[in-house]
Amino acid sequence: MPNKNKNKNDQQIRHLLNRAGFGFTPEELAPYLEMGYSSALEQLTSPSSTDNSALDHMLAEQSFDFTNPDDIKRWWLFRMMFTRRPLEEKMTLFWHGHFATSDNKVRNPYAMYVQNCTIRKHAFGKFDDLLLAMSKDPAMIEWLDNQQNRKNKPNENYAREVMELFTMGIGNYTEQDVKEGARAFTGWQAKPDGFFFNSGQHDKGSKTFLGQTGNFNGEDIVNILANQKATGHYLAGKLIRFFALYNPSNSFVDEIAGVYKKSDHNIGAMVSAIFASRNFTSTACFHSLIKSPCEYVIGMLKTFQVSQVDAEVPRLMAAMGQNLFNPPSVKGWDGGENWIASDVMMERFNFATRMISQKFDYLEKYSSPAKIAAEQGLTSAAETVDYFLSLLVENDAPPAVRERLIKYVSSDMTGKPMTMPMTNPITMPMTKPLASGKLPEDKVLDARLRGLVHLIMTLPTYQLN
Amino acid sequence: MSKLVALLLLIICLSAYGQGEALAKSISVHSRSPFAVGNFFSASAAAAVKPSVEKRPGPKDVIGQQLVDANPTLEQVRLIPSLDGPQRKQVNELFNVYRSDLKLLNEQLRPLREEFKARLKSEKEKFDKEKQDRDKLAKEKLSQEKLAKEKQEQTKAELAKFVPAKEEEDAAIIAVVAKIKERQNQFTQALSKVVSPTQMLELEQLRRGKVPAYAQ
Repeated sequence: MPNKNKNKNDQQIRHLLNRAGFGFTPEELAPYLEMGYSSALEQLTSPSSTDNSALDHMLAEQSFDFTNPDDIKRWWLFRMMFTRRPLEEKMTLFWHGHFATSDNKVRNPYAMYVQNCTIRKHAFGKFDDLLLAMSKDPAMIEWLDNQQNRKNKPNENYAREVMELFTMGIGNYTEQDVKEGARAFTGWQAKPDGFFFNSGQHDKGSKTFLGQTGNFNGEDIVNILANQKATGHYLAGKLIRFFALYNPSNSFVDEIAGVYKKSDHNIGAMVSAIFASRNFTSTACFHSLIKSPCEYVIGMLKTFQVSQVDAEVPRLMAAMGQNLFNPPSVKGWDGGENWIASDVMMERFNFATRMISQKFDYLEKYSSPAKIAAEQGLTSAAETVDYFLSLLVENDAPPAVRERLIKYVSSDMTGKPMTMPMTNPITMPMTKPLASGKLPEDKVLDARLRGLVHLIMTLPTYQLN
Repeated sequence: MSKLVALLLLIICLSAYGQGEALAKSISVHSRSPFAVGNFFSASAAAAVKPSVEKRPGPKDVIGQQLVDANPTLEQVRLIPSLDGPQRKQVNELFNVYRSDLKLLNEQLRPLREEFKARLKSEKEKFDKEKQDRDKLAKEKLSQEKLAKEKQEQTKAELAKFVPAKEEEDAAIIAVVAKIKERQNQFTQALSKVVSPTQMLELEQLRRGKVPAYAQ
């Protein structure tokens, strides 16, 4: 019974790391298993308490050019891969989708990089601070045309999106609020060194916004919006759908919206409450979300412990539907079932092929299932299948699939079943484990077990988080 | 009575054995946990290699490599925070002239490179055609076996005969490439007269990832 509880706790911690990060390596997982769920959660949600200097050193050695659009993508992927603060990166990704800004229009990778740093800085703090920082962010100002928002010719783009997409959601404001809000943001411009308040272009007149009247500027609008009840609900719903469930109950959303109010708009407190909720640790939540390309790719790279991030990875992820720093629209990525639409699904399978055929690293045989099978003393096809099903999909596969995989592993290259004891070399390591670390020479076994891992990585449950 | 004691003893023994076996099985399963340290894919080998990001390789051909411009782009120079209004104007003008000059030179270079590639292709085709004709003639004269042997040797020798001309050795191309390089150098000089070394250092710091205080 204690073992059963331990297994359940361990599985919940892995579930937490998958959702609060991008998967894990065994070395990353071990300390979290040691500390238990609540301490793990505490550590993940207070990233500043975790030393991340190793990542800083690694980053300093990479010589990225932050004015290069490809390099900023590689920089961020590198962070996702090697950070010791996974939730910090996951939150940054969440806000990148929320305050969706695209370099396709901004055409300034450096500004996009600075925006990313600004998001990371405020990702767990008070929402008001993040919203104000985004309202003053040069990339955002360019993206939503606030550079052209002038006293006598207001541009309503930012004022509209700040209500529709960043705070309350549609249906909670009027067209007049958009017009008045736009007036408050006039003169909010950007210069190469950051935000610039162009006083001469600011409309200093009185405005009536969401029922309040005053000589409002952008900061006042941010304050008013952050204090709306609808904002708490909107953010709670969006955070829950990103981290926990696609269709949360009203009571769950209300609960997290309540945390927003009680904690004085603290985002970290909201995220902690989501992960601490029974809604998150329940079996209904497990494997209920579809992995985004970021989660799929980084998770797989972590499982295989690839140490070199291939130059092609950002392009491959874009082909899967998630082009970092270039979300498809102001709404960000729709996610959910769109991640596995027919046009992008094949890209996932190709990525799995690329991974298992070792095109990602110069390490020889780093991904050798046959070696693992030998090292672990797996003595039958069933044991081998169970081992990899456990590692890759937490055993979440129907019995019929398991049976077919066993049949695949215990049949020769022509699909003909082999008799026991098998004389075919494929069974050699099954019956006689090789010395630890020694690679089996047999190519058939190698191909069969690589095929097994590839098949598991193309299972529906492997696409789930 | 003694039978009953023996039966009880047997039950106790079997139960102890069963427990022992279960424990052994649980230890064995635990050590095989795919999530245990060292049980993923090649942990030790991966740990021995420093994490890194592979950069996209630059141009593969020699001319492409020669043409790589070390000068910053206008978009990059515009990022320099301390660049003042008049400097911005001068920089814009410099880049306008530079870009149009380079456009002209590249227009000169493009047909030369295309012509070179076409020439290379036709030389190869001519070479292959002659080889085919010779093979055909030989086929008529020699037996299949002999032909195969001869053909093998001949192919080796003939392949060695065909040495494609190198693009970088083509005089016309060299001349234009030299002009482009010269123009790049001139531009470096001109830019350094408008943008101070301190400002170039500012740009370098941005390129290396320095962020303004508000984003730190």
